[in-house]
Amino acid sequence: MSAPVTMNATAEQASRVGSLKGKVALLTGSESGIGQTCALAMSRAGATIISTGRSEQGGSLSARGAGLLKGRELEPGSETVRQVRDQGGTADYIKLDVTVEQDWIDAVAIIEKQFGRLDILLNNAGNTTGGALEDTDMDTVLYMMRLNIEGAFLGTTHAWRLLKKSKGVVLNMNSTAGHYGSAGGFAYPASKGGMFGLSKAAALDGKPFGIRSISLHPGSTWTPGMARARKLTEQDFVAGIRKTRSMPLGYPLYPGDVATAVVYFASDAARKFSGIAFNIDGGMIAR
Amino acid sequence: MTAVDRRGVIGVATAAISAAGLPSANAQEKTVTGQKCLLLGPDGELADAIAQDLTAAGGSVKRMLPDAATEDAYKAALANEAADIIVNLVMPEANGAFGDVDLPGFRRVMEATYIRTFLAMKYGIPRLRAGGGGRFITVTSNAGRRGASGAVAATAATNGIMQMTRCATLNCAAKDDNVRVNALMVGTGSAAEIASAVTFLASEAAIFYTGILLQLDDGAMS
Repeated sequence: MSAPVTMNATAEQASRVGSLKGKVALLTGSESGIGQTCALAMSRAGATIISTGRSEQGGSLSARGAGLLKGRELEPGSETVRQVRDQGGTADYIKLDVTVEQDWIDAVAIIEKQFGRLDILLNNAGNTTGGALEDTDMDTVLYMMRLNIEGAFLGTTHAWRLLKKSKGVVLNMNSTAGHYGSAGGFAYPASKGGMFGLSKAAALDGKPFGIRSISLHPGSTWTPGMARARKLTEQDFVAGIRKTRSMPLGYPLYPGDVATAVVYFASDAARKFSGIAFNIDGGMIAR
Repeated sequence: MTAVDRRGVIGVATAAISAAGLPSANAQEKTVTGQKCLLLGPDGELADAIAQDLTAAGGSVKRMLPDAATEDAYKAALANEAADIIVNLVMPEANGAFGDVDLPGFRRVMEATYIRTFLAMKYGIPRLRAGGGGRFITVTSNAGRRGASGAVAATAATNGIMQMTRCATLNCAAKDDNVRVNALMVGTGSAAEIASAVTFLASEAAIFYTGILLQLDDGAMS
């Protein structure tokens, strides 16, 4: 069962809230789920998409090494690149593990050489873990810290030089967990709180250079990956939100709803927005 | 008693709104096609820009300001209005610090912003419901986020408006009435930039957004 169409935005609708013409966007965690939908919407809005992920893809820029342009005719192994190109957009893939600093250094060098600019960094890669405080070990805390906080730190740090030139924007995919704790989940909200602080710091440090930083806080969003992780059918997910009203609106959140905010806040029309938390949570924040 | 500050956006508490600005990027796209937009607020550059942007995005815009901040005035003005989107434009004037502001001065700002927001919600949201749902968007100052010196009334009024927005969000969500309630809290920005954000919140793609207090302040709150 799908939610009524009128309750959620499609990637196509999301793409129309702002223009990203001429902009180059680097996305992490963009080979599936929210990140992939953001890539499709940003592409429709005019952006060139650099999708990244941890796997080596057949058509990736990094796979082709320093030659860069050689092998452009290769079929892209990246699903996101394939989908963006299918809808007429421009996209490439770079292998990038957000926790590995050298990957960021390489990715930014490749982008500078290939495209000469970077306008948008979407720090979207992330993961969650369960476990109450007394059940949480140091490894879990460090894993969440490295992925959710240091990943965004490394991306912002290494993209900074190019973002200064373009007066660009950093979009940090946070969560309602960046505002709320949860009983039985310690390390994830802790890391998202840290990530929110990082986003605000980037807004302040970026201001003299015209760099903006925006924190996006979606609630639980239906994606195939989430479904696998929680062993949930879409029907059960929808029914659960209807019943518990974990989001007061009582409707599920889909990736297009998140992509809408990404497109708008990445656009020049939103150039006076920075340092904010944008809550996509069906009114949870109002409660 | 003066019901509203007719100066429009001039003298807005803590807000520096300039005439210069980008043409809205989203105005080129018809993101509010066919939507009936009701703009409640005083005339001025900001109202002009909002009306222009919504119109460019495909909406039809009617502008009005009920005669007084009273139940009768709002009830009469809104009784027969059909609307999909209501923009409640209530930018406060900064009329002084504690010690400088007397009760009539305090009350003037409260009526123009706080009371008008209550009335616009009370009589406007049912009009959105009557059409099957819609968006209620308040545009006000961000003074209430932290407090602003020299603007006692504006700070009180806008922080109150933030809480009204949250309450209305939850009321509407509990009714499953398809009404979304958001507010744009303006600290800085050109009229065009403010208008662009209003159109963003009104756009078809923003259907999921409710309870948002969107801070437009060039990073000042970070």
